[in-house]
Amino acid sequence: MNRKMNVSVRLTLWYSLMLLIALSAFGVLAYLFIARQQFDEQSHLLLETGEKISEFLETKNGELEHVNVREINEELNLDEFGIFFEIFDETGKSFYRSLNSPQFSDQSAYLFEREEAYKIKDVFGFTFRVQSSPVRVMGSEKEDFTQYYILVGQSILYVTRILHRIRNLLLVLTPVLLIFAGFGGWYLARRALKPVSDITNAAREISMRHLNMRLPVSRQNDELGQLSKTFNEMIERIQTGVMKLQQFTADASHELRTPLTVMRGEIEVALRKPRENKDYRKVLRSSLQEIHRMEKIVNDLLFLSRADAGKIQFQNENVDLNRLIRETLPGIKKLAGTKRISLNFNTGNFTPICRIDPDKFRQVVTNVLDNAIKYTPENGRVDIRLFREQGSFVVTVTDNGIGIPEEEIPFVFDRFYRVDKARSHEQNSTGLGLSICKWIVEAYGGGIEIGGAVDRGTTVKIILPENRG
Amino acid sequence: MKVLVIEDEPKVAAFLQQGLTEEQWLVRVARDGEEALGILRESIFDVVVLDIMLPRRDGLSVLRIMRREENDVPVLLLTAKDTVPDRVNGLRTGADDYLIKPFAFEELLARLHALTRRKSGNLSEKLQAADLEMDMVHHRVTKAGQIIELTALEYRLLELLMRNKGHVLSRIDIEELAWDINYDHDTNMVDVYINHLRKKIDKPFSCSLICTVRGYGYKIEPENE
Repeated sequence: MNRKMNVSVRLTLWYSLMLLIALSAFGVLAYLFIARQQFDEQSHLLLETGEKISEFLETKNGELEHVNVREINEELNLDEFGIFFEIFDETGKSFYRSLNSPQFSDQSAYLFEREEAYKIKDVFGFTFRVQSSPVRVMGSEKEDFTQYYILVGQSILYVTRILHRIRNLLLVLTPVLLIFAGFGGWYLARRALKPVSDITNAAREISMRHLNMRLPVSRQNDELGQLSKTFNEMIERIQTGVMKLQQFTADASHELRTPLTVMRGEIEVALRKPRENKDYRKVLRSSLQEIHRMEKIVNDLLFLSRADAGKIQFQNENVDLNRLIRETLPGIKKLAGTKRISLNFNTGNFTPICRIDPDKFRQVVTNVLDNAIKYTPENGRVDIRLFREQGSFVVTVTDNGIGIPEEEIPFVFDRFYRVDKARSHEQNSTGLGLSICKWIVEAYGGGIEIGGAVDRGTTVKIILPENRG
Repeated sequence: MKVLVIEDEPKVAAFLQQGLTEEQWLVRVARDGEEALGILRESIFDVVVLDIMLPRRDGLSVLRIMRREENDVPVLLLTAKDTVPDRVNGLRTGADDYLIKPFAFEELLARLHALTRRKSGNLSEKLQAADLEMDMVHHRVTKAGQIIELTALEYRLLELLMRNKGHVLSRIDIEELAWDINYDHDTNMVDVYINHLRKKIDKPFSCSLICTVRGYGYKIEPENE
């Protein structure tokens, strides 16, 4: 259940861990630094105190005579700081010992000059730091002096108490800071990630049926705003695709409905009462016609869906375009003959060999010629030309028929697009022919163009690159 | 009953014309929107069957113009457009019914009957005047329980009179509503056929139903016996 911990919690945990490491390092370093400083300060204090004590020594004949303990206590206030001292002579014999001095086992071992104070334990096990300061008591002669040592000490507790306080402070402050920072970080992470969860919630709402919905775009043009925008653009593309698909499906079903309507209607009417044989034959012939129509639509749809899926197989061979066009002419001529349209084929003096699938290309030529005949009135003419142009073979089919309005030309290759919605049914067309032609020609790296003007005629130009491997 | 079929697909128009004619309808066909508007302006129909995708002017536009011109004839949209928005749009534009292609011919008939029945205020599929009864589903006319055989035209004429029971119809009304537009009616065909009807309906029986209103037209008056 907790496997997919959300990003803000994870971010917070990582962030807190880093903060913990940083704070701990800081605490340890600060503690060590302060401890060091405190001990230095204690050493320094003990050394200073030693020097000050030496000023209160009364000497006589180069010998130490008396220690002004009362004055020392008044001036230096040693009791208050728990500082004790003891004065030794050269031999380590104790000359004076302050009242608060603890009992050490062997203090004379520390009686020489040193920067650092010594850490020693008294007989009860308490730890103290002691510092010895040498004092010379000058005699009458220049070289005559007596060496004394003042050993000054203080309990380590004066330092460790402070250090303990600092340690405790750090131990309390670090977790408190960590908790505050953690909550702050979590809040910030959540705030920063809020748009992400908004996007997630909105994206969850958007399905095939609600493609008109869009993700919220934050006002700032930041990474998340860009993300939403990019997603929205993608949804837009999907929506267009789905709409095209829905339109295509609607068009296809509409296209199939017309023959179904005819068949159902004719058969139902025919069966309403007994009829003569010839009437039944008429209905059957008509139904057969409609079945052919549906067959053609289904075949065209199948071709296009295979083409979309990239599953069309090409059986390429070297084809003489000239011959291929000539082969398609007899069938077209028959069609042209019924409308007394003259069909002319002009070709240059060359052998246009192309490596193509002859069946597919024949389909293209037949389709284009079929259209030319369909949309040309009786006694019109259709011209076919085959020539070379800029490394391509070009086939143009020009008629002097009804033409296509200029504004409709961009759509004529769209599936199920019909320039004149009315004529379609009579003309036995599926509305898919030109889409298929375009697809085939483009599969060979060529192109198909349409031009012309209303009432003047139409020109279809098929371009096929010459040197195809 | 007169129906105008506005349909551009010739085969659909053809079987509609055949099927409806065989069901005693007087059928006229228009192939595009403009032609349909022209016909609607010059003739009266009991019901209109309208396709949406039409050349020159689409069906919805025809419907809109009809309604603007205060033509309140019942309209049945007959179309392959089957989405809910299409249907809603069609009905909102002023259609009375919506039927999707491909359709059952039987259903089309039933819907056309329903539309005309509602228009004329009849609640059943039967018309009655005294002991004369007309079953419009089976096209059977009986008088005092005896079946009377009528030709298609006689049937239409009688249906017209019975639908307007008690009201006088002029010869011109009768020509307009019961005769095919292509029918050459320069002679007084109405009088001739009224006579045929009288021979079949009134003669063999004691009471006479069809009355002549001198100088004007005819009516069926069941109360005058």
